[in-house]
Amino acid sequence: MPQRLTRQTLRLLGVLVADPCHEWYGLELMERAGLSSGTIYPLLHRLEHDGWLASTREDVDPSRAGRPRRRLYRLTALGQTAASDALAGRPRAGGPSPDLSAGVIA
Amino acid sequence: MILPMLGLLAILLWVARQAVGPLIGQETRGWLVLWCRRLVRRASRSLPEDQGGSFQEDWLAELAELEERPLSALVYAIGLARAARRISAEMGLARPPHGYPSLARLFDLSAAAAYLLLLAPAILAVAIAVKVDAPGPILARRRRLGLHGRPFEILTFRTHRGIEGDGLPPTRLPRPTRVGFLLTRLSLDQIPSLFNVLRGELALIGPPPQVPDLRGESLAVRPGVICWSTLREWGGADIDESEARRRDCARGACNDLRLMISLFLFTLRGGGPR
Repeated sequence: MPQRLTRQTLRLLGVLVADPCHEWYGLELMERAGLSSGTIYPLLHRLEHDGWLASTREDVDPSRAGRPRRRLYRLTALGQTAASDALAGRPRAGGPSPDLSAGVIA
Repeated sequence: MILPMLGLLAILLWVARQAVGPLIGQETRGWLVLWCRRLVRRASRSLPEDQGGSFQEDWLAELAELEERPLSALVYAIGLARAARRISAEMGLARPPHGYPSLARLFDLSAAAAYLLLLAPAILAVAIAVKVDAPGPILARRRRLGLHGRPFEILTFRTHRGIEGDGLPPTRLPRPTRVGFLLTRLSLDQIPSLFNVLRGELALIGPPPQVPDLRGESLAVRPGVICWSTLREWGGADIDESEARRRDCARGACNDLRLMISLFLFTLRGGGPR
């Protein structure tokens, strides 16, 4: 599955790979990767669609917590290998090689 | 005389702010939060039914975390409009449901009309010059492919002898006319393409229209008079070819604004078409 690897995608992947088993809120990823809401949600949506991420709703009762349930994102096994490959600059089988001249993680 | 009055004004403002400030601050904060929620709802509404609801809940939940920082919340909520547009584009929805394309069209239309009015005397002069200099029509029409591959005829002032309709590379190079040479140098020959903008075939900013025989995949964005690739050729943009092409095909007000700003700065620096 060819993934368009922009500089921003790579930043996000860097954050995810740094702590692969952690479940992230969208906001956390936004702040850590330094991306805006307009950038991060399409990215997360695409990564989830391609199977690199899995998302779940958090396990809280909305009426008790006083707010709706937030969504948590986690790297899948596929995502982990794919992301590490992408960050290392290795071309994936069947996919285009990323353009790393744009620079990697901050 | 002025100074003491200014001083008095400053004191009054300070008093007002101290007295009323906290009250307004609280109110404004509340309104800001409500406004952000409204923005979130509007953004998620533009996504398909089943998905939209899920996005709305997610985003409202995240917004709840930001309510302590109303400015961040505002930036967040505003960004979501863009997120929703891009997500629905990725889902392959044919056209984004809200405003930007028609806004762009309105802008193109008014700008093109304004330019044409402004340049009317110049256009007249050039038209006369072209007609007088060499026999033949004043305007050259070339076949091009526009939005979604729809063919149209792009209009330019005629700059060569003996060029026929369609703009394919001719086998025998037609000679440029004297006026034509000048027009090309000053880039004035492109002015009639503003009529194409009025007709909706062209935008002001967009990728170059495709030549029929050489086309790749059809354009998802209206082709434009100015594009990043052109600016790059003139030396006004420090990006490489693939980045220029990517920006050309990206839609969005921010992208176009960036191009306009770069073009403006470039012109100020004395740059121009090469």
